[in-house]
Amino acid sequence: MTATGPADVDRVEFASWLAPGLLMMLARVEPLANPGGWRLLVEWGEDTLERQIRWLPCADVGAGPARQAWMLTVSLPPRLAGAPLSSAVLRAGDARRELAPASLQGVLCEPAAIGAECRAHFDASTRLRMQDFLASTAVWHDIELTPDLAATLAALRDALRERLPTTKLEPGPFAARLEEVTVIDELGFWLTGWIHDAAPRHVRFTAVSPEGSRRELPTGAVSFHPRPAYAKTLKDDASFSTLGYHAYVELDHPSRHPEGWVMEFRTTGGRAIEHAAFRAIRRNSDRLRGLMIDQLGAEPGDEAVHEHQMLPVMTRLRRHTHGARIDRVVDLGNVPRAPELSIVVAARRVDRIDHQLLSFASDPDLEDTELIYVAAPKDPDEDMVGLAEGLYDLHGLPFRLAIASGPLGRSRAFNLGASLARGSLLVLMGGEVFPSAPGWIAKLRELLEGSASVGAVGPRLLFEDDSIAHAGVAYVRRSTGRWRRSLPFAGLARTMPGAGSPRRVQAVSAACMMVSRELFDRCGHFSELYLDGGDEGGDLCLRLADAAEVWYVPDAELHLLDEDPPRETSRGEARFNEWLFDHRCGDRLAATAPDEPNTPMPARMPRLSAIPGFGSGRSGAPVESLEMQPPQLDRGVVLDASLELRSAHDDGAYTNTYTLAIAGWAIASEGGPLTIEVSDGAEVRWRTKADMRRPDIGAKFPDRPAAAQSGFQFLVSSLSLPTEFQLEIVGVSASGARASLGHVRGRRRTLGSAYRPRLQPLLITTLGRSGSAWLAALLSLHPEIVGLSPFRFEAKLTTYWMDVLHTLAEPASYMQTILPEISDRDWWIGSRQSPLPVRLQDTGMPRWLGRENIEILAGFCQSRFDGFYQELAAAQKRVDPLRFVEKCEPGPVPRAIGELYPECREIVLVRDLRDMVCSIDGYNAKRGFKLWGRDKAGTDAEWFDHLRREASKLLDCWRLRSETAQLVRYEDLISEPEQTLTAVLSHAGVSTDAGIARRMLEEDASQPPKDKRFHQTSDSTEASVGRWKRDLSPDRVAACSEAFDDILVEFGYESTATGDAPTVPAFKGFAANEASIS
Amino acid sequence: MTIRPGGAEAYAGELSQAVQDAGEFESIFVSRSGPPFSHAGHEGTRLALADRDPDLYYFQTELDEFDRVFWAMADKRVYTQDWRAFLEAVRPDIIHFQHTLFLGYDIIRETRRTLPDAPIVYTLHEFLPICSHGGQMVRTETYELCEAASPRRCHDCFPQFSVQTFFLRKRFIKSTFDLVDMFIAPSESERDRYVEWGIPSEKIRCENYGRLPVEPLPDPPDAGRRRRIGFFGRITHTKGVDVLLEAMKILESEDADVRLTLWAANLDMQSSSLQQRLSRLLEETAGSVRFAGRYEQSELPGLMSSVDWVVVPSIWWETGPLVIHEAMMHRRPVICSDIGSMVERIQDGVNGLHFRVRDPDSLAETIRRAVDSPGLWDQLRGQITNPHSMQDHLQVITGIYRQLLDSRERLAVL
Repeated sequence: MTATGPADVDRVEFASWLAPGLLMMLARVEPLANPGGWRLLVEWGEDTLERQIRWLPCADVGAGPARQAWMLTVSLPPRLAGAPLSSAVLRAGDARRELAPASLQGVLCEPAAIGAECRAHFDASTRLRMQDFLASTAVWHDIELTPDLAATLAALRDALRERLPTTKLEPGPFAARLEEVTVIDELGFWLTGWIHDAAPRHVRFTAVSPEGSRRELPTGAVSFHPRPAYAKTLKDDASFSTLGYHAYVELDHPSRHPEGWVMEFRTTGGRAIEHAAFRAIRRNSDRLRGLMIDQLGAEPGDEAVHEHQMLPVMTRLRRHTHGARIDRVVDLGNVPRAPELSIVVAARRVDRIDHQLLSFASDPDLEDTELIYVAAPKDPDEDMVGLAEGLYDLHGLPFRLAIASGPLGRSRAFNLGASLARGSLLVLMGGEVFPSAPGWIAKLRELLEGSASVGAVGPRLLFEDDSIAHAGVAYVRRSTGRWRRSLPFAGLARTMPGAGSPRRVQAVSAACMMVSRELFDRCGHFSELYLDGGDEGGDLCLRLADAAEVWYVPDAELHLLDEDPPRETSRGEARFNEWLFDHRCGDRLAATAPDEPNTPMPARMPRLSAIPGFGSGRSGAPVESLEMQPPQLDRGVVLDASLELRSAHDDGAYTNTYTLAIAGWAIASEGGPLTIEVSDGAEVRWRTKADMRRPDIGAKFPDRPAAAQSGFQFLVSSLSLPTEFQLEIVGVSASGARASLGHVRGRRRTLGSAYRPRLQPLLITTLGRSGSAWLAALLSLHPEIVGLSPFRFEAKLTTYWMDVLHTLAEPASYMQTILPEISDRDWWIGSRQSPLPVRLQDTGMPRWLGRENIEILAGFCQSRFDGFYQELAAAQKRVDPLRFVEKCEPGPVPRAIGELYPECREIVLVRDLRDMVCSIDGYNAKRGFKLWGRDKAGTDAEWFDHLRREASKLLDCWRLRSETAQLVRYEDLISEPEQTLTAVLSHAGVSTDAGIARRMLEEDASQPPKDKRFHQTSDSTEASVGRWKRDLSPDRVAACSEAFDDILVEFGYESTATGDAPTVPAFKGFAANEASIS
Repeated sequence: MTIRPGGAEAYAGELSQAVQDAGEFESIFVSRSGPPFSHAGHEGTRLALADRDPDLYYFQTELDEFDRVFWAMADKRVYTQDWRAFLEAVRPDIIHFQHTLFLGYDIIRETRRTLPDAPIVYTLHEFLPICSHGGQMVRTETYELCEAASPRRCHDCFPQFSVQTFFLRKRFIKSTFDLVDMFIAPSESERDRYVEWGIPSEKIRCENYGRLPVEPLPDPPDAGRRRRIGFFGRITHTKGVDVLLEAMKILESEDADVRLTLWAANLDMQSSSLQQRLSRLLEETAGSVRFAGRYEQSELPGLMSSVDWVVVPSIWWETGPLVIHEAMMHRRPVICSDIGSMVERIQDGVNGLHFRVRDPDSLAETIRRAVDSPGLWDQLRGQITNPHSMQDHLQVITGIYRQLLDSRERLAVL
């Protein structure tokens, strides 16, 4: 720099206003330790201003070591632009440095002059840094990049730039052009040109904005296409080729100046040329879209292009006014102001609106629903409002018409419509979807609102020939790792079994879906980055799945017609859409892809009794043996033994079935094979001999010949066990001595089926002689309860079919279907001589028999209840029964029913056991038999023991199912019938309208007593209460007290002694300990 | 309700007049007017009176607004303003549609909306709601009979319209038909076809056309052989005129002494291919066939009396056909195709003769037999019963009106 003053003074050499608020200076200053800490004080007339400075150190060609050149910029109030500058001082804290000259006026000049000076005195790399410094100056100082400032910066850039050579348009080793620049926004630009080189794709591109920002373009930001005309002119041959390029440039700092873009081209060999665009910048985003789509067609597979070119451009275009806007909204008729539900229809064809409205107009669910049509006119003359008026006048259904202008893709239409919608629930549907019948909305709502975990639902969509168009969407991984959208059941008849049940899915079609408004907003609406034909629906559903489940609801059915005229998507667009989907959703899909097509039910389904999928569709092993406690063997009885459990990871024939497999071996201490008993703590459930071949054990005990035949196995159905069970394995010697071989704790899944019952059960669980027949008769008088006349018949379908189910669920039975041992007529029930083989080659069918088939059988049994009771209801002229009523005994039957019917209600009917004893005695005397166990028991004591065990089971029933079971005392029914009956009806979930209990009681009283008389053993119902005090001898009273007092108290009765409640001892039954098994 | 020559239209006019004359109901007859037929209407209204008769209106619609596949007007104001205004002014108790051509099915919808309590009756004269090919249920290329419609089959006949279009068409028509209280089909075979298509069986009745009685002119003198045959009606592709002329060609080649007179209108409105074909056949049969052109309804008795036999060679199912009624009224045995409603009216060998549809050989043989069998004409003629009279027909129709009005009242009371 030419020094204009003493070289040892800090001085400003040049100053220039870049813009009215921005001052630039070139100064020579003694090196500053921390330049950022120094602020500039300037004096103007009377003003003194202190400002932060931006610094750029410059390497000066001719500077000495004592001073360093700096480029500074500082923002000052624009009003000072015309005022004379006085002095400038650097200040940092208390330190000050005066900058000469005293009046800066003298060093003010035009920016161009500074530019020239810089060119003269600074090297290329410093000037490069200066360009970058200046290009970012507006942003740094937070001032507007006005056109004037941009122009100034452009001029400075030209002054500071080192130019590369350009090439002529003639055949040669390297040539290139920048032809056109299209602006997307102030940070995104699209540059087009061509390049001729030995390896054009390997050329490095650097774009230079007019203001001086430089950008070396990453691979992928540049895409190539043929330029045959230039190829010919430049005489392409084997060595050199010409390609057109499109480049996307994303700047860090805005650019506004309309001309002056430069592209620098560098080959790998080191040659560098440049070219400046000779046309002014264009603004034409439609043309740009077209260019990009063409580009996709040229090189459809290039993913780097998708990521670095397509996606950023699409994102910018979408952000900046590209895409349709709503011009006006017309309300036809009285549109609901505060609807629960809003339906948004993206109507591509306005003539199809008529066909949708004719269905909507006759659908009662659309009252109080806001219906919004979003459409764009095809030509400017189209009178959409007139058309809409005519449609409203004709159909009478209020709706809103949102008229949009601009390119209106379906996603945009949905998002625009949703922004207008007032409801908290949204249905989004296309204009080519037509309801088959009313009720589809209610069905969708039922599933969506019935569970807190469901966030979106989609209906079954059919083609016009009633084949399936959509039954949920699944994503399958291709061999390339990309995800492919698959439509299960597409094209198949709508009656295909799998398509008829609701199930959780990965996505539903955007052609029709229902989603909560809040969730839709939260998850970000439909993406508008996809080109025509993209999977925005799947994209949305996968995002929704982060927060909630998506379900397919086949009972809601609509027709989906093909687009007419069909949408044309080019291959390039399709590839981009695929790539974008993978880019956005691939990780989510990889993380959540289910292994099975069926997934567990949502957390709570209070109103819907449907269970999804095939069988119960729940994952996890049906039976798990958790723990075995090794035995403390009583060597006197058992020499040695071991229990072996099948683990869930075995791939045997019984793995993952409801079959419980316990095996092992046990050698008796003396003589013969042991009998092995499995008991559940209350009774022996299964029994076998330990006499199966075990050569391995024989080898272990060579001196014990019995060892080689000491094996045993139990392959039994776990369904007759409680869901949490503890079993004891006991070995019994020939002489009757018993020794425990160990305990097995386990659990099993509750049994479910896919059957959707019409009637729910109402069970009266009772021991008998408790007034149950009367209660059943009474309950069947209720209009919503159907029951078989209980005094003539005794309906035990539940017991019958559950026993059938449990029998057929035993492997001894079901394995007879494929490994039969047909010895007698009952072979199918499972009487076998030889044990079932455990190791099978082919485990597929045995497993199916042990699991899915059982679930289907369970469903069949449920269908028998419906079949029978619906027939009965029709015969009794019942209109709409909700429940069927039956008696049953405590134990596996009410438990099994409770598992199959989550909505089951149980009445645990109990009577004072002492009165029961009297009643049983009376009944047996009357009928001449000895029932209720009296026949099997020798003495009263044995009988009372038996009764106690039964009563314990009843108590367990009530305790274990306290949520669905209600305790009813016979005595309360006698003394306060109306109140008790009302409570029962309320528990059963049937109508308890005023007086219905009383009317039932009256009707019952008016019935002929003949049938009842047969059951009765007392003179009157009142006399039946407390009869034990009259009818039992004191000895028996004492025996009852000992046997029953604790249970009586649990049930709320007074103990036999004078009203004191004895302490309640712990119960013996293992079942009762389930609560302690965690 | 269109003003052009044709049996159904004549019938409709007669029925309206008969209803009026019977006194129980006042009948207002509305005809659709407009292209391609006469123009009525005035500036600002679609209505015009016919001959100043306050009970005879024209309702004008334009063709360019009319979608010929769906039968719908794009601009719904035809219904929601013009038709609605007419209904609100006249306030009919019952609306009986004979036709909705060039009006559109939405006229039913609008009628129901404007007059929710007035019963709507619709007489189905042909299969237009089912079949886009002129309502004849014959296929477009081959003119073969079509047994059942489906979106795919209809698309095969009209490839320029997609399968989905026909799906939507049926859905649309049925949505308006759901609003109709009673349909009337003039023949059992037609009724069965509609029930199969989807009209609930209890909503459609079979009731044959009734015609006003005419004084039959005396029989033509017995000239020995009854060899004079007449064809009465319009010429379309499906009336089988070409089959008839082919048969006459065969008969001429055998020197059978048979004479045919064609009283037929609308030759000039048919496709050029049909016109050419028929013209050629007429030339070839000039020896035995005379083409007499249009006729007025009032001329019919005289024309009938100049023939012995009436031939109805239709290649489509026919639903009346009214020409058979007219022949029966004039005691002329009918030779007809063996399908559809024709075989309901005419029993082979009883009151007429059948020939195999679309088969000129069969028709030629039948004509020969008719002409050459002595006594056959008298025998058949003697067994012709009186066709359904307008009097009886009127009873049935007004009975339907009464029944519908009564049930409406009952519903209103409930």
